[in-house]
Amino acid sequence: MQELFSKKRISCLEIAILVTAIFAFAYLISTDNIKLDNKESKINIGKILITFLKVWIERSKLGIVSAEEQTQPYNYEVFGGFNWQGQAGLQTVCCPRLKNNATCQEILSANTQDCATDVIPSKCENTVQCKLGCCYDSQEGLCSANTPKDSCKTVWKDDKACNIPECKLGCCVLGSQTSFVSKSRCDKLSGFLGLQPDFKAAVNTEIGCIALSNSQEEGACIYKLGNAKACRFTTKQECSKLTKSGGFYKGYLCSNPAVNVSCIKQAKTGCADGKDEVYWFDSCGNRENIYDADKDRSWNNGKVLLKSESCNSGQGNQENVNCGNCDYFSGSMCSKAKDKKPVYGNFICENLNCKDAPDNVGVKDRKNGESWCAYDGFIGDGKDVVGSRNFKYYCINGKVKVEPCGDFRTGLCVQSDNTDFSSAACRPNRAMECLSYNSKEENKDPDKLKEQCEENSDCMIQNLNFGKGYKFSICTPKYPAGFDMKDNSEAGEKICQQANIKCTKIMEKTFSGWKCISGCDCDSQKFTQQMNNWCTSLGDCGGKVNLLAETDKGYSVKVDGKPTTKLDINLEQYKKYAYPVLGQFVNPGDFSELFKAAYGWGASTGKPYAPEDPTIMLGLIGTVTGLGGAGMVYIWGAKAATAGSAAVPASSPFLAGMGSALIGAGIGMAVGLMAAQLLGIQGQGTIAMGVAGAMVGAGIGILLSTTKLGATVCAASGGNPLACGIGIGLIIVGAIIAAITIALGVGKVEKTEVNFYCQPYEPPHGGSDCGKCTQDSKITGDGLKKCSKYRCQSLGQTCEFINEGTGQESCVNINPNDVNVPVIKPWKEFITAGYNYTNITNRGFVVKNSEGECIPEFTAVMFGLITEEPAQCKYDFNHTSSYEEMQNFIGDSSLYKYNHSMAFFVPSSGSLLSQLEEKNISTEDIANLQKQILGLLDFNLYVRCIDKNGNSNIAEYAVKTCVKPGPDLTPAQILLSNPSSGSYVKYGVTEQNLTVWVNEPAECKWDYSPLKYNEMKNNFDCKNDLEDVESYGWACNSLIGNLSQNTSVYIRCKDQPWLEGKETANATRNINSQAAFVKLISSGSNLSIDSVSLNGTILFSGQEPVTQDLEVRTSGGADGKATCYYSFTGYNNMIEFLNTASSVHTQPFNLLFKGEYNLYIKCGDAAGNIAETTSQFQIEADTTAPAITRIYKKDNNLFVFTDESADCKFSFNSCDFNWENATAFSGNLKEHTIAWNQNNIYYTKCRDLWDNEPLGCSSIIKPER
Amino acid sequence: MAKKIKNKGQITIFIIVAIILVAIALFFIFYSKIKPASINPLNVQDYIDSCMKTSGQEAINLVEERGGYLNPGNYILYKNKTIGYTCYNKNYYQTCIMQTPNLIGFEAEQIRGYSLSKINSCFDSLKIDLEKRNYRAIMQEGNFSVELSPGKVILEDNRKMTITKNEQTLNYGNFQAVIPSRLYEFADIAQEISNQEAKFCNFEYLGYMILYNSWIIDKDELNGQNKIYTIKDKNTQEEFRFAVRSCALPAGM
Repeated sequence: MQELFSKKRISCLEIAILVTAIFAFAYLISTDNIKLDNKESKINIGKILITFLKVWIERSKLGIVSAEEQTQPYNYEVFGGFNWQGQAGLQTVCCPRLKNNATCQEILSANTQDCATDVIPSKCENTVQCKLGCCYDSQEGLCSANTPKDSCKTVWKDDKACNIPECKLGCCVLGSQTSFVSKSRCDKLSGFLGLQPDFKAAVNTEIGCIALSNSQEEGACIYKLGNAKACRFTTKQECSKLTKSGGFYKGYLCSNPAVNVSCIKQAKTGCADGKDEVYWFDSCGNRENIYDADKDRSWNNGKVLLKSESCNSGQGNQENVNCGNCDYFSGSMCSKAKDKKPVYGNFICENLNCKDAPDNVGVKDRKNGESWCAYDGFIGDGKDVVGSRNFKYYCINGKVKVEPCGDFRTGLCVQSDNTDFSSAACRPNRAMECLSYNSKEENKDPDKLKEQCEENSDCMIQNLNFGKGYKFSICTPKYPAGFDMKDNSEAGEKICQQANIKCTKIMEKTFSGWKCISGCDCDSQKFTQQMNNWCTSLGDCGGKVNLLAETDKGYSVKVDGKPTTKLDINLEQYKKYAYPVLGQFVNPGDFSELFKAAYGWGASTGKPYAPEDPTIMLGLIGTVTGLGGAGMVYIWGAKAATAGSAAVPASSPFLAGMGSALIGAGIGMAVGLMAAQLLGIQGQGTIAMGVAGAMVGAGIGILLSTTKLGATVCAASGGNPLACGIGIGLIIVGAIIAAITIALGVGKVEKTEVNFYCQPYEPPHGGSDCGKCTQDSKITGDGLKKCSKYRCQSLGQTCEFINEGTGQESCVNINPNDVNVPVIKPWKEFITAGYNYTNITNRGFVVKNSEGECIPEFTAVMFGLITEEPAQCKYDFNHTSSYEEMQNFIGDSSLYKYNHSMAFFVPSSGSLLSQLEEKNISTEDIANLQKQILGLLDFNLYVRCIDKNGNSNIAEYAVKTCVKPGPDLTPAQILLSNPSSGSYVKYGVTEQNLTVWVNEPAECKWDYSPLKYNEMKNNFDCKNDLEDVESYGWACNSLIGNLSQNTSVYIRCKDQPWLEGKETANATRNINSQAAFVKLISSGSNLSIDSVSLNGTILFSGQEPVTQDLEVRTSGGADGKATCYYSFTGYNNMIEFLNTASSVHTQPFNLLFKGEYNLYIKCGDAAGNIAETTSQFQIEADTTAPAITRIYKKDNNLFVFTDESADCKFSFNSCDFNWENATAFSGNLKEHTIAWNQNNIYYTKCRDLWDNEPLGCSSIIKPER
Repeated sequence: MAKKIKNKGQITIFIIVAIILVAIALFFIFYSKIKPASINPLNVQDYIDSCMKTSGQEAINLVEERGGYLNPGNYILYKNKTIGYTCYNKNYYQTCIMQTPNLIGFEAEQIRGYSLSKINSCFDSLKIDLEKRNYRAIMQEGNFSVELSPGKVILEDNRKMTITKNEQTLNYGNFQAVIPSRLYEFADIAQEISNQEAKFCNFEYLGYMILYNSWIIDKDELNGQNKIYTIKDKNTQEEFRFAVRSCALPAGM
């Protein structure tokens, strides 16, 4: 019985442990991302300060551009629209004529002084005078695309791509030549030559038209010259100009005795205008057949010998002394002989191919017209070297020429991989799009990000993994764009900063020793290597090399706030990337991309980006840790969500009393966790303490459930003795476990914080290599690769590209004899209002307020330094002996500039001490740290600056200041909220996460009315550790429920949370007297797409491409306005409509060809309401001539039927008649009639509504003889 | 001794001959500049035609090297020349806006503007010169026109001029200068290039050269933002240069 009782107790205990373990582990998992405190014994005040300075310097970069702005009085509404305040005032306006006479240019409203006329507050597209269209010059027959209406002095049509009938191209026959032009142009050109226009609309390709020029029938044209008979070898068309009598001998040469003129055959050889080949010429100067040393074969009995039947047809016959059948497309053309002497005459087929043409590596024979890519080094994988450029080489007329693609790698050279005849093109580098994919909402799903990233052939996915908690993917450029570090260095620096990351390695003490629980590779070279890969792929960032394989570290790593070189990687590995790789080229991808490359990119990429600030384009403003931070926030969020689902307690009907036990276990576990936090125990120790607490709680719970009065009653006898015994046993076991855990130190956590800073690549100091830009064959590629601004800049800090565009460009060292160190002075114009630079000497200055007092706690004070030449500046809190030893860049910027700014922001001594007290630090340590804090109240920054030639000041420049301790009398200020006040909430959503940022640690509450702080019912979860500070302050989060149409949320905060329960007369917590206010507006309905203009339609046109506008109408959603996107391939990589952000969205298409189209449309509004739809439409382009389906005679009338509506005309002479002068059939539909005359032949031609007509006749109708 | 004297004499003769030759050369160089060629009433037509041809050629040269403009307001400096834009958009990423939609007519107008004042000066000089020589010269108002055609530029001035002396009267009119030039063809090709740039941000000049091999087209890029096109007639080496700014990309990030 006793044994049974014992087993029951053991079973109960096991059940209790099992149940509590569910909670404990669930909690553990769900709090995997909870904030862990610092190592309790390694608090470093300097580190905290640096963290603050860094963050607040970052804040200064994000928008605080002047001291005045920083000291604006608290106004929540101002900050509510923080992100776009700077943009709001700048609108695009249309200037009909700039002062430099450029017409119809869109300018920013701030630049109206550049406009010679009154600006129009609208996009040019929406104005009458500047609306773009097609300007058709009927006199010349020429069309001008993208022409402003007012600039067109002739006929203006509303189709900026000129897809109008007047501009439809066809083949104009001009004697033996042809020209691919519009009909009216053909009339004009024919007029110049005195020819009847011969426009062949049916020939609708340029190649086809050129081919037609070679098929013109030629012959001997006999005409009178004075009284003599003369002959000219020409076309019938031209002959008719010479003679009306019609002496045209088709296919005869003038030297043919049959034409009976005294022209002696094969008098000389020569080249003929517009012809590739070498020809024989007769004594009258008439062209004969293609030169052949076999004269008889060439003369062909005085008849025309076709090219295809002439000697060695289809071959180039380069330098062939016997045959002049040159072929431009095969790389030869008639030219005067140089090296080889032909058997007859002095003309030969010149070789137009390029022998030993420079290739990407080495040389290769290239054909005429061939183009290929040449690079400066390795390309792709984010490894393109600094200063490198893509070049398109091409062989034309025997010479290799070069087209440099966009400098700064804004252009890429893509090449088709056809080994026989390669074709290359420069096209824009889409690198900038890659980074934007990371911030897209839908790409929070890593698979979607990967999918979208890989769809863009200029992007690649990088997988980073530094151990648990630091595993994520990011889309980065494959061919990073270069930075203009001379004129736009700050943008480059900001882009590099996207790869700034804080990685925290967390070690936890377990029963078996220390164990890594997250970020295990953060303090290894693997971390640096992966981070540098990311960093270098962003642009000219990180450790990489320049054109001359000169390395620069371009990054820094700090461990626990201290710079270290222990984690550095070997930069020698990058030197190989400075050399091109044989066979490597940028693949154009699929055909559509090659099309884009060959014919431009505007059509496929849709609306261009906002140009003024590339960082806005990338969606990067407003981040501190950048995309890494965003990526990890997402990853953490995903984990938390998973943990959340695992934490749902399973209902257990196992024991009736266990319900209360569970509640008790929950209470106990919470108590245990609180104890663990108070004691600085984390991780596994937390589990242990949680379990121990749970056991205690379970015991108490069981006691409570089995007795009416709990433990006291248990002892008294009213309760169940078994349960009572189990309860007491659990309490004892729990207490023992807790005691052992504390004694062993299990659960203690050590954090190692590793920061990677991605910085711009710095070219070598000085300018000793500048000249190599134009002289070093590695860079110049045998003279083909010209020096450029970017290439020059990459070679040295003092290299400058001069005389650009003059033809005398060079890269020079602008300051070769500079041995002076940069002189440092205070930046007098730049300091927070109310503060001054005092005690200014050559060795430094003091920053104090205008009353000569120190800086109050929690006050950001900005100040700056000026150097008399561009310099890079560092500071340190301690004395150092050289610039290299110094730890931190001023303003966290490694750029060389004149003005250097940074901010002091010092937390209160009270907040620092409170943090220390929470860390379970010994009394002795706290006393020491207190001394440090007090010492901090008066501290110095030691500054050195280095110039571009490497000269730095030896003596430190000291910036002194002090912190004014004192009671904090100012309540916390709410700086920003997300969503901002006035934001719309998605339709159907009843809850919304709200984050507010406070300027100092505080506890905040909210309610639906402006109640007093203590009366507010809802708490924000505020991060109040000093190191939790973010760009905009300390974040507080809460979930706002019960959203109505208009929900007002009132917020008040109570500062100095460390004073809770310790307030004195001199130290009281401040509460906002005025509540901050956030208004959330619910969407009245869901967003819907009401109509798509092209849906289900079939569009008919007589030409290709076709211009057609797409119009989409939306309604509902937040405020009726939405932004719409379209795609022809799916919902990935969609393109924003040209005109959107309203309820009507339009997109013109100028390049639609015949076919069926699936259009994917997606619209979204400010509240996040999304509407999607697909639409199908069809383009039917009728580019074929009408066909005659039936002909018959009835009652002396000829009836002709066509397969489509058409006009038919006829001539009695030939198919080659002038349409305008010809006689028309009656009827312009499908039936056409004319009076029949059986003595005539009806050369009939029919033309449809789109002016399509056959090349010859539609039908030749003869009477039956 | 005699030989020595003989040598000296020879040297002296050589020097004198050299001085005379230099003097003659200087006379021709400077005299022609100082004093304009005397106008014989019989060569009035030639004088005006020549004047038109000279001014027309000057205008053509300027227009050809400046993108069709005489004095481009919106230009880019390239090889120390101001190259005007035929198609231009000051913003990044956007296709260019046509600045000279009717380039042929525009160029004709530019040439006309340049030549007209020069030709007026020629007429004025002619009149002064004739009056100095006691001729009475009467000029009527007329029209001056410039026409671009394939292979040539035609300048025509239809003002009438009557010269009288000693009751002898000579009438002149319909002055004309035909200047061989490929300006018309250049304008045609430049228009096509501008159109392609306006529509596609690109012109496939290599393909064009292969199809039309009598032309050489070079493209140079400045700052990755401005494209300088040079069209050259392979036979005559005559060139036309113009600038386009279409889909410009910012220089670096």
